[in-house]
Amino acid sequence: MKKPKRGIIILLVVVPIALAVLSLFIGKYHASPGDIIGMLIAKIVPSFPHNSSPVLQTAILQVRLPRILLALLVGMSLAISGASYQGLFRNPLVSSHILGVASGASFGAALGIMLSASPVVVQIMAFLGGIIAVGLALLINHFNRVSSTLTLVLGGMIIGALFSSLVSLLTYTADPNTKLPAIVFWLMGSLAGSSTRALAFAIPPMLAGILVLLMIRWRINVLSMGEEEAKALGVNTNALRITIVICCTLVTSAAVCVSGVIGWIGLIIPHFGRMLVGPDHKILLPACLAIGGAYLLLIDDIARTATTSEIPLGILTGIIGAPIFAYLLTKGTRWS
Amino acid sequence: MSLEVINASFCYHEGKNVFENINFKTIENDVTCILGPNGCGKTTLLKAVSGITRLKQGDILLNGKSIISMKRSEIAGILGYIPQEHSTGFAYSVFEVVLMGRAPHIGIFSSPSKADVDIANDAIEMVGVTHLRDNLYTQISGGERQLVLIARTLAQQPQILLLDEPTSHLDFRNQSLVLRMVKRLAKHGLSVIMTSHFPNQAFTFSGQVVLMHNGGFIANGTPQQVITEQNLKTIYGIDCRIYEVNDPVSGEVVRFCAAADETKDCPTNVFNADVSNSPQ
Repeated sequence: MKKPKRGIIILLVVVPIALAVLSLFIGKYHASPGDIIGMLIAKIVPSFPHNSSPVLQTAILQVRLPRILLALLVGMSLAISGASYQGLFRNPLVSSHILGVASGASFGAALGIMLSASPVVVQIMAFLGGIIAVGLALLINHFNRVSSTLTLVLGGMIIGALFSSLVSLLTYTADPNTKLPAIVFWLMGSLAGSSTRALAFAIPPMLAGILVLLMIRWRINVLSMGEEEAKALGVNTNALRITIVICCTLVTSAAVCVSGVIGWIGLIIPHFGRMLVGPDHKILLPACLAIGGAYLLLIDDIARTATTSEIPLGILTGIIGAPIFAYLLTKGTRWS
Repeated sequence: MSLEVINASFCYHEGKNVFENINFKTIENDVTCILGPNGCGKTTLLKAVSGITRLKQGDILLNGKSIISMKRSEIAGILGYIPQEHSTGFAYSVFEVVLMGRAPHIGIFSSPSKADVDIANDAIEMVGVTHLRDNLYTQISGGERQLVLIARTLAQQPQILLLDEPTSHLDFRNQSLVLRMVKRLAKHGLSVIMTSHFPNQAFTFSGQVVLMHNGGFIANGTPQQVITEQNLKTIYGIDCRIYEVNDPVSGEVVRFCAAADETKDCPTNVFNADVSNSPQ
């Protein structure tokens, strides 16, 4: 494999940025591009003449901007943790939710909704639910006599299944007129609840996890050659594995707690990234950030504008993603 | 740099040792061959020597220092290990695989530098696989893969090289190429330990032979001392002959062995030959 083409790298930088800027101009609140640009410039240069209303300011800066940033960050988080897990577990079929993060977070959120907690509390409970689930999976692995990558996955599956059942239990007993729709809608994923407060809550864990994953990204290559070989190459495999798991858990829990469960991205985007830039995690992880962010932003733009009511993201990621990635699959040369 | 194995024992389950009481010391600039039949504990011994698994008893000394007290990256800076079984995982390029050999020399939060890239390229050239540099590691032949793994280990810049049956899946030509490369590396200053179950490889390529059987230690010494008809009979359970010929080019005495042709040894007794004497 030669170095990835420069054109691809440029696209990976330009597309997410262009998409983010473009997304500022689309939405239900109707405003002319001129007014929006004028208002944005006036924010930086106060003397700049503009004719924007306070409503416009709120719509763009308090509603659209946080939502765009959240869409980018959630997409980035799910994609980078999916790619890291696929490297760690040496398996292209695992996703960011493999250790039970999504089930745990879903349980936390569903419990919060059942208890009629405020949206902020629901969010915090989802975040903690995700972390507790992975913590339990690690605990099972810790007490295993031969702790290895495989036992870790199995532990994650056990915990994931347990929390899925608990979520089903809550859904089954939920009041079908009030609580049930809220739970189901949360489970299908949406960024409609985005706010600057949600952003402030989710950004620190996401950025911290992403940063550490980027710092250790080359080592994931070595780890993906198998545990024994990585050891022979001087890698402290246990420490590296636990670092990856902690980072991925932080970013996915933060992502799930603000957006609900969004499938696909943590599974498919890493494959797409490998097709574009190859399996070297040094380039793959940044590429996944770009693709994941851009993809979820695109999906979310459709979710909030296509119909008069919001479409859950979990529905769109699959319906839009399947044909795109099916096409790419037939074209792909370096599919894992 | 010397590596010394002292009284080494290992078991997965209490009371059932995979190997025990193994003692030997590497020879500088030469190949030490651990010879024994399948399942005698060679691979497990090599994993313990490389620090991947921990011995139950005994010790392994690198220049007199026990590897138990050493950090993994420290061990990997001295010992290069090439496993026998090796699943390839993702479709990395040959260059990307060789570059991974730099891992022990690169900080946890760093990526390879230009210097690391140069070292990896040099290692690829030294092993003679420059033409494969940009190929996918998953799409080259078994022999080429073995050479690439040797290149990766060279990029690691170890002082001792451990190879676990480096020729096990290779055809005759590739076996010879890989073993010649191993011998050349030993002559250039690496101490090499390799496992093998072919006595002839030990004759041709090694300066010291450690003979193992059922996890036990039979003998150690020069190939000539250790690979005897008696010892081969003990470890493989079949009659063997050792032949000596003068090499027509160099004039040196060359030894090799082959299984005895039992139809010629005891033509009247072919069908109940020698099962009772088998040690297994």
